[in-house]
Amino acid sequence: MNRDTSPFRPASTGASPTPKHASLTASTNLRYSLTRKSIYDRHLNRTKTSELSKSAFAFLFGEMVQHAQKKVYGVQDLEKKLNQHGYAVGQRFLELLLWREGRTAKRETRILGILQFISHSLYRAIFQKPADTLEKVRENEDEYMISDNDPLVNSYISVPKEMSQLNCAAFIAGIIEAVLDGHCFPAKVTAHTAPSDMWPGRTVFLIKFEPEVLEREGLRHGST
Amino acid sequence: MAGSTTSYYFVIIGTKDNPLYEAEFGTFKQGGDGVPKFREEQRHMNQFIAHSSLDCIEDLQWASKEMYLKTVDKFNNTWVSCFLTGGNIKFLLLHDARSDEPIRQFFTDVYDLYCKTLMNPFYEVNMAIRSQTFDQKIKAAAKKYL
Amino acid sequence: MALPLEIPPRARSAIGASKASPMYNLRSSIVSTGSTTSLASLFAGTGASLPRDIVDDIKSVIHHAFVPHIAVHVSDDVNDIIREKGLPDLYQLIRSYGEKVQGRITARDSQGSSVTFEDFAVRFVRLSDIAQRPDRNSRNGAGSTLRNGGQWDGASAESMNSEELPLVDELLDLHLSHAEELIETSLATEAESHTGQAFYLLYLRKLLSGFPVTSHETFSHPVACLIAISSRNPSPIDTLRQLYKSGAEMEIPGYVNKEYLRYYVLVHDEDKDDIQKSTALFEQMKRHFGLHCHLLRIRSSMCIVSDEDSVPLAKSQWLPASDELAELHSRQEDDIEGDSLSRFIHGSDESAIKTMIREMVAQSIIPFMERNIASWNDQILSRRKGIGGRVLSFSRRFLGSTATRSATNSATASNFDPVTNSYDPVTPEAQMRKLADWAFMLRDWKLAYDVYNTIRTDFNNDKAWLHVAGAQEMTIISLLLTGQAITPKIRTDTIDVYLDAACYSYVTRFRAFYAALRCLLVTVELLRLSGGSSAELAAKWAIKALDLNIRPTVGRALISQRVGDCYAVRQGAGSGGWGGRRRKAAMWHVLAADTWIQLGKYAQARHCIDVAMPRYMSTEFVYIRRFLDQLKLDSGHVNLLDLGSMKISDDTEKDSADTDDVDEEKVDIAEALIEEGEKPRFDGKRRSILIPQTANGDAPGMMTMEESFNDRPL
Repeated sequence: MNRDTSPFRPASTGASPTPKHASLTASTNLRYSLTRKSIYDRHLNRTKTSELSKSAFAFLFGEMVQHAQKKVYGVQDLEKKLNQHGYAVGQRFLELLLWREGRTAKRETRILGILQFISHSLYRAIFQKPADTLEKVRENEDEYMISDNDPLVNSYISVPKEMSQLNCAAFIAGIIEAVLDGHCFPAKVTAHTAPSDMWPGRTVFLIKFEPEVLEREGLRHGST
Repeated sequence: MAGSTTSYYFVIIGTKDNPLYEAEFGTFKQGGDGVPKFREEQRHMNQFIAHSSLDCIEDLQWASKEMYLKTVDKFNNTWVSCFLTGGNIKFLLLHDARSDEPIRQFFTDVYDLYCKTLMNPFYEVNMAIRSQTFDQKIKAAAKKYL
Repeated sequence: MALPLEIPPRARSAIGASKASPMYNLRSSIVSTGSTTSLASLFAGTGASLPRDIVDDIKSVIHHAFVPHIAVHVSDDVNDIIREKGLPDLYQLIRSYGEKVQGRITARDSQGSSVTFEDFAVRFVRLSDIAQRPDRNSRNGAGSTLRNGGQWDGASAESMNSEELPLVDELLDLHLSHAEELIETSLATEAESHTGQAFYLLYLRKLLSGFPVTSHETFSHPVACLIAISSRNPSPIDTLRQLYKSGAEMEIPGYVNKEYLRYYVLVHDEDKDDIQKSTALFEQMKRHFGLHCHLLRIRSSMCIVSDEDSVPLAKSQWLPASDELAELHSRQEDDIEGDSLSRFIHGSDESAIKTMIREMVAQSIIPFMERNIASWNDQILSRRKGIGGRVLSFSRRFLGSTATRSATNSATASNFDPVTNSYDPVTPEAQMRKLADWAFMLRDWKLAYDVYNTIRTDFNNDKAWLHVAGAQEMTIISLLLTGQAITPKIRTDTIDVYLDAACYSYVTRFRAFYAALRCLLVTVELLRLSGGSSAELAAKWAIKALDLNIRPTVGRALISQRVGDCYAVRQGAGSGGWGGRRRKAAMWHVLAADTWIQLGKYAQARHCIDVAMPRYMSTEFVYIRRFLDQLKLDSGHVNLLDLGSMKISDDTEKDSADTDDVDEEKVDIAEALIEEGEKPRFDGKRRSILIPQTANGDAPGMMTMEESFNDRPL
């Protein structure tokens, strides 16, 4: 479709496309269509069953943590950074997962439903195993916990003593947060190290929902 | 005007009521030429109708777990069909006759294209989609099903 | 972004020096010769001057629309006295005082318990007006023919065939122009001018002011007739008899029951006549005509502002649009001093009139209505039982009628007269309708609902479609007034179905647009008052009412705006406003603004835009933005001089939008710094409950919180 006649360009490019921008798209477009396939020509299931090398992943993850570490002011900030990286992954994984379910795909509309989805379907899709537990915090209505006895991302991470607070599974927390957000269950998800006798690397993801989530849940389903 | 006058307005709306992608198309069914036949004043009405139907969608999204919500709203003779993704992105199609199944197929193709867009690491949720390939593929899907 | 904003001619006139049409200028020149008070007096009786409590209370508008009508039939000598006072006739003198009967009025309902009304009202009409508004059918009776299997070209329908509607529009247009003028000349700020719902209420009231006299409902049929003579009459008793006779012989439509209450009034001239004589005459009247008599003592001299006890003559709020228009036009032609003089009466006259009306209503009319309601209720029902062999448990049980038409009854001849499209007033059907209407006027909604609900089926069996539609309309209205909770089932099975059917009958069978519009708008208001989902239903039917009003008229603009108001009522639940209809409300306000601009009512348009704007403040929908910018321009919301700067600011906005993302990131980092330490503390000692995971990852749909979280061991 001719860009200039299209009425449906968002405001910033609609009325007066800058010549520079226009020529750029024109040339790249030409190259795409003749030589290379675009992202739209790849099937979304292409990588569904293929396995990734764990060491390669660990290397990339380690690099990511180190990269993130360069521009931060402390442990909290680093975790936040990791959370953001995970968030971007989570947003994509959510849609991809539902797409792969095809016609049977369902959006979850309740807190328990979405938590089950995360701890089971999502976790299995990413780590090939469900999360180890899903718990509700007794004292606080708005808090839930998902635990992972041995988070994959932490396999080759050793936390220095002075940063004992750090848990790089904040990356996974970000994924969880993105999925909750996507389903309109805004929450704050944080990763905490909670070693047990059997699992020294056990990590708990603490999910604290925004107040409106509980309010809505009460309104929608309170009577049923 | 020869052929059918059925025209469609399609819009993808992000999580902040922001349009990510818009398209108009006519029908190819019954000898239609695929050219949208909206009068000029219908242009803003289409956007108003789509925008206002979000009220209904926000209601329905908690009542149903389906992603395809079928027709969610009606304004005069315009129906609004909606497909709601897991990430709360809405695909809306304005049409003037009810036909659930072809629209579902169309939306399914759109979802495929949207997911692919999302796989692009340089694309972020709620960003306007300006890829011409996307545009072409959407129009091909419309031609196929609508 | 810079949108190509064209400046249309209408906007130019809106923003330019001359905002007014020639006609507008003409009128403003007329008023400008007077003082500001005369400006106000020209439009006294608009929403702006109404007491707030009435303006706000939509229910009171509806209550006051369905009130007993009292015909006024007087001798010439009475009107002579009134003319000396500077008013045309007795009817004009007393009519506005019927709109609020002094003090409390008590009536008994069908259960025998008494109900008190603070704001009871009656409507006075000239008896001759009822006669003058006959349906054409009764004149050229055979003219109406049966068409297309039961479709009626019924003439009684024609009289409600929307003649009034253009007049209501015209009147509102006049009022609105006046309001615009006040705003333009800075005599009133936009806030003062009640751009909100005041004009809609005025529209509604005018719509409900002049119920046409028709066969399918009896609201406009007189409940009583006020017969008056004066102390100047040489042969008073004979004149009264004569008035009785001439009233009875007057050519009123056959379906109007003439057995209304006669109320005899002797108007005594305080200034010229001897009270002794009048009292004697009054005693004589009472002997001849019984208790329904009153001696009204008023002064015949003209009253001017400077008189000691002068009070302004109350303005009638319920003047039919046609009358009010005529009055406004005639007053424009009149010179100004004549105009202001006629507006005052003596305080003693006012209290005498108020007392008379109160006495008449409380001691004669209400008891008369109660008696009739009780006896009709007993008689007709028992008779119907006899005729139809049906068992009716009505008025004893809500939703009582389980009557099914028996085969024997359908075989008997129907009482419906298809030629006049009416029932004779003595038939049980007509009396039942009257019973329901009267119960409705005395606000016994339950009884009214029961009766409407029952006669609906009777009318249906007679194929009296106009009557069916009327009964359907009133069934819904009385149901909504009972205050019963409106369940989704009632909404879909009763309200939707009956409204649809009634509108179909009114519009398609009878082309009775007025009746359809009244039916819709009253229902819409009542639904709107119920709020929630009912408000959404109200919006739906208000949209339907728009279909009756295709052309851009004041009515259309007002109703569009009302659709928005209906949606706005549905605020949604909780802090998130879930289930609200804010976007829809905004859209309808924008559409209303568009219509207002087409009508040249820029203040109204600006008001609508103001209401809608927050919803679209930062919308990225290009056409919506462009349309709104155009509307703002057209309505004078944006000054032309600001236009240049607006474009610039738009451009800068675009630039800043491009850099927004970067900014946000910066902000994020900054926030991160501030939020330091916000991470919840985790001590590993939190007590928790294990949530069992289902194999397929589905939520345990049926499991409730209680079940899943009952102290289960970890």
